[in-house]
Amino acid sequence: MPLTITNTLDRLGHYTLRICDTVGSFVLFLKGAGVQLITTSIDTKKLIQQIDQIGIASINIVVLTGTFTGMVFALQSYIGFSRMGGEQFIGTVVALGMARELGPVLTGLMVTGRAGSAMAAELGTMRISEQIDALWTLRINTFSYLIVPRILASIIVLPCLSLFATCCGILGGYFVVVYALNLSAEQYISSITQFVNLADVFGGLTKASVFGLLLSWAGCFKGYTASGGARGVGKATTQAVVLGSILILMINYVLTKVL
Amino acid sequence: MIRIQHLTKRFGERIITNDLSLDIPEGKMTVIIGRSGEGKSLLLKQIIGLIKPTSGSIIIDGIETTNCTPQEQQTVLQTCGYVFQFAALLDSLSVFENIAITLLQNGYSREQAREMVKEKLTCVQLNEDILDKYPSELSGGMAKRVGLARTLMNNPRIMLYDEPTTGLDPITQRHIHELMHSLQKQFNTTSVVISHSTDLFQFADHVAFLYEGRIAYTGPAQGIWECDNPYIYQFIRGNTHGPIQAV
Repeated sequence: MPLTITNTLDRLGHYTLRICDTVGSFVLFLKGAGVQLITTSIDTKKLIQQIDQIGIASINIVVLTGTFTGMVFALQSYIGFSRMGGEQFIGTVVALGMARELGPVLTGLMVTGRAGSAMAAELGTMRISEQIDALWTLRINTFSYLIVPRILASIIVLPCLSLFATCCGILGGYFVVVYALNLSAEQYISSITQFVNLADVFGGLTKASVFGLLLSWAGCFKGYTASGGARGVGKATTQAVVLGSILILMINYVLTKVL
Repeated sequence: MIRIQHLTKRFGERIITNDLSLDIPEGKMTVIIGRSGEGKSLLLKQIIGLIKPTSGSIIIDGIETTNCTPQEQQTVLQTCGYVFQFAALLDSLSVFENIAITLLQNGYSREQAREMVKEKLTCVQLNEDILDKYPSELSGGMAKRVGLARTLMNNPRIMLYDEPTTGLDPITQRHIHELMHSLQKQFNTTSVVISHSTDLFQFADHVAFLYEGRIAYTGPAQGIWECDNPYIYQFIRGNTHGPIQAV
């Protein structure tokens, strides 16, 4: 066999093995956290601390993102609907879009950028400065101490943030419809109450919970497995954001199909 | 006793420890010396189980740490305490929380833990007024003592020190060496110290010299300056001429 073909096959083999290794480690990481979540008691103090760090600290950006997205969404819907005389459906479209799609997805992406990166950076720094090794030598389960509170807090907090974003988006749409486009406030509200039901909201909240799991999983995994000094931590942080965002966008399609 | 037998560790093509064998006697202080990058810290990490060797075995109290069950691993960790090169204190926790971390995790109240922490602080010659400080507020010497106190909380019978005096001034180095020596005598622990400091020889019982992945010399620390082993002779004097080649 010519040498170039052998080299190409060799490289392909190495690449495949590396991908299998990474995916396997990624899945086993979540399994490890899941086992700890089930078998050990949850440190409530650490959980509340993480809820504060991931949730409370992200409210500002989530409110801003939700409000402006709702405003733009209302404006764009108006442009489309005014061409066919369907302005009365702006409220429905804004509310449905925010509750089912934009609220959870944008919240997921914003929190990935803010808290997912912070998780990767913090755990990565702990890894390279041997703090995680120190915990291990002290017989402290690092999954139960470091990973479980972060993942659990994200799962709990994301639906709340998503709800905030959705409400702010609907409110932003209201302001645009009523004060910028001079349309009827009653019509905007009635179109929401008439066509949007609780199942839409719960579907969005379920999505947000799954996104919380995905972003924290990616952030924790990349940070926990970081290596190579400060550069390695920077790389892990970037990879956590990229991986978290891609996972959210991909799984969002599956969830939209299912829910 | 710690028995290291035919230990080999490879990273790809690179061999770090190569068929290394060493017996570390119980209740004594053994200092492992060697050039930077020879794998001394790696050896210590393999002893406690932080890194798995490629082949060979390490036996601590009859447990082969390189091939043990999770329960046996816990027993080994209960027996061994590890003092990290840069203390590895958790940045987000206060000094008190760092030292008391295992107690707090095991359900002790902060009041109960505080008394026990104070006792260990006395052992490492620190005052209790640092308990509410954070690691970033401590000097290098203080951080290392806090790291030592944290390790002592588990009352280990074997202490593994990874370059405990790196980056410290000579006076603080001497203080830490004296402290390690007194703790070893007080608790009758087996101490394994990775160090570049020749000052430590006066407190040590044995010296092992790691060169090119193997133990090139092992012997008593007393009279080390008169030792005619060419490796030791060159290394402790820092001579550029001799069997050890410059990197």
